[in-house]
Amino acid sequence: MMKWIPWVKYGLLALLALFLVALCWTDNYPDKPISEIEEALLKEQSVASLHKGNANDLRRYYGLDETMFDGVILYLSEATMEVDELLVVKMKSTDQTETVESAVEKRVEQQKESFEGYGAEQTALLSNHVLEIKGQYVFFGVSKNAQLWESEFIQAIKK
Amino acid sequence: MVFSSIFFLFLFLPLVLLANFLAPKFIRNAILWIFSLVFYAWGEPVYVILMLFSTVFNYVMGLDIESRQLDRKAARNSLILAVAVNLFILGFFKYSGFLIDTVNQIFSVDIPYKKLSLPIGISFYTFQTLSYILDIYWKKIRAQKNFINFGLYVAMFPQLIAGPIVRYIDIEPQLTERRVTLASFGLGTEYFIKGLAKKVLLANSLGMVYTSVQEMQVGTFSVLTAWVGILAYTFQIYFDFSGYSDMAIGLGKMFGFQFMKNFDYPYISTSVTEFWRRWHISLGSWFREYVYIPLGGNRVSVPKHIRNILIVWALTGLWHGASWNFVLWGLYYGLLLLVEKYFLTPLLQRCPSWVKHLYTMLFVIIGWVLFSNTSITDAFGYLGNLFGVTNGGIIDPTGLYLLKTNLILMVLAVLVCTPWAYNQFKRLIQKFPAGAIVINLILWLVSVAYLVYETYNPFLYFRF
Repeated sequence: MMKWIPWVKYGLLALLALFLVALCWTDNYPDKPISEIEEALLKEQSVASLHKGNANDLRRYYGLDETMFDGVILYLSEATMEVDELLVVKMKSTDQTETVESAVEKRVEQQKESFEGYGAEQTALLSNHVLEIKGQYVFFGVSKNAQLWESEFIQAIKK
Repeated sequence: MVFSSIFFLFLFLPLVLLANFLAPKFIRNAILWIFSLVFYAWGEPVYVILMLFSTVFNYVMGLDIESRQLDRKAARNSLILAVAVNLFILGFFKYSGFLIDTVNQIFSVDIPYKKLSLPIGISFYTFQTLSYILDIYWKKIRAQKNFINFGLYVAMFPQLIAGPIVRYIDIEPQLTERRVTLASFGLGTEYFIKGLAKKVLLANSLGMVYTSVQEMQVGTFSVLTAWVGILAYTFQIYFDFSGYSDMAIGLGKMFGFQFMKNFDYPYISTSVTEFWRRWHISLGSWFREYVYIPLGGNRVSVPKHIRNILIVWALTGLWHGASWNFVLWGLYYGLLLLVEKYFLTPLLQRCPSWVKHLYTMLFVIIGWVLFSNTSITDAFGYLGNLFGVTNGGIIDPTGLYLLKTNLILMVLAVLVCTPWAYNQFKRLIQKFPAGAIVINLILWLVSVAYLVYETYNPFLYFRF
């Protein structure tokens, strides 16, 4: 028998234990129901004044299927010349991050194309969008208040 | 990273192909392994550490078990440790939340836990490493001494995240010696394009139909709507998963690997038993080799055989997800297989072919209802809706609209899920060899165009 094997074996098990403890300690934000996050965000008047999107809107504007996620919050501006938009996705697992991120990026590009050439303010807001990934949550906001929404969102998932 | 993404198709794949073919043969495995780790880390920057751990641990345990083969008790102890650690990791990430939730519900307690995200592909690579460890213990294979070769076996990107589950015993020679000819590369490309088209053009479009039905409240839509929805899902899951498997097999061929066939036209089956010989073949083979046969298979008394079947199918269900609907789905198939084995086969043999097809598809579709609804209440509600327990009547405008707007898609799906379409393709290219290039080019261009313009690109088997 190779004499080094037991040492490596038990060393690896110790490393696994450390990794799992570290993961539980650091990974992920608490498992908050999406309704609690929505409630916190709706305290912002600039969010409450938007129109609440449904599963069809999510598919139409982002190409995402609501049933693939643990929860989705979508608020959109009803006015055709406004680009204010808020999306929070609670993913089932972090491997969905890439899908959600690319859907958001496509949405931003499509919106920029729509306003290109005549909507300087809208294009600027779109360029300054906030896209944040926090554990199993993806936050996306387009608004002059997007930073404020983001901090509300972070507070809500940390609580 | 998914195969059906522009980034993979136009940056990652060309880069890895270029690097692989420009590099001298002796470093190709190292290159493929590094690219595979990048591929995995792209979506899982933290869990790549877990996969590296699994690689190192199983490599060491393989050597350990082999070095103790003369002392069977010592070898068995090492095997138990290796299997236990692999199952612990899988259980910790995939089943711990489910287990605690169940305990909380049964005993009305509130045990807190941290919900961890599921490492992508963990079920696939854990089953691969388990097969490696068990085959060494059973002396079917020798432990791999070269760490890079073993690392490549665990992490190989074409089949890493959604199978097929490749057994080490099947791929060992190819890890050291493999050849890629122009013909095999071409065949791999054809497989890949076929899989991409199945996934992007058929599965994604059919998925949108089922999603629109799922968004409605069960019991409020018509029988027709329910059938259109579940038929769309039936085709979606087949094209989604078999498309991904075809892409994996095709990529394997491009790099000189031969992976086993994972689907063999399952929807042409004339019994549920045959269906499972044709659906997710690599998973079925794995459970047969490593669970069913060690339990005694069918060479035992009838009660024990029934036990073996039910264990294997409950585990098969559980493998698909940490939820009771998957267990129910697995047991449903276990019972169907038992009924066929002990009662139904003589009767089925006397039936005309179309009756056997109809019988099989009916039970397969009912199975997909259990599979696609993670809540058992929703699943039974949907089943009721399928058979008339609904306020929506038999036919409603939604159902007619869905049927009319997707009829061509459905007919196409029926044709492509039988060998007929591929046989026509083969006949055509025998007469006009250039036809293969033209058809594949069209499929490729349309698929890429769809990927560019459509964002709806879910992948059902990722969560397993």
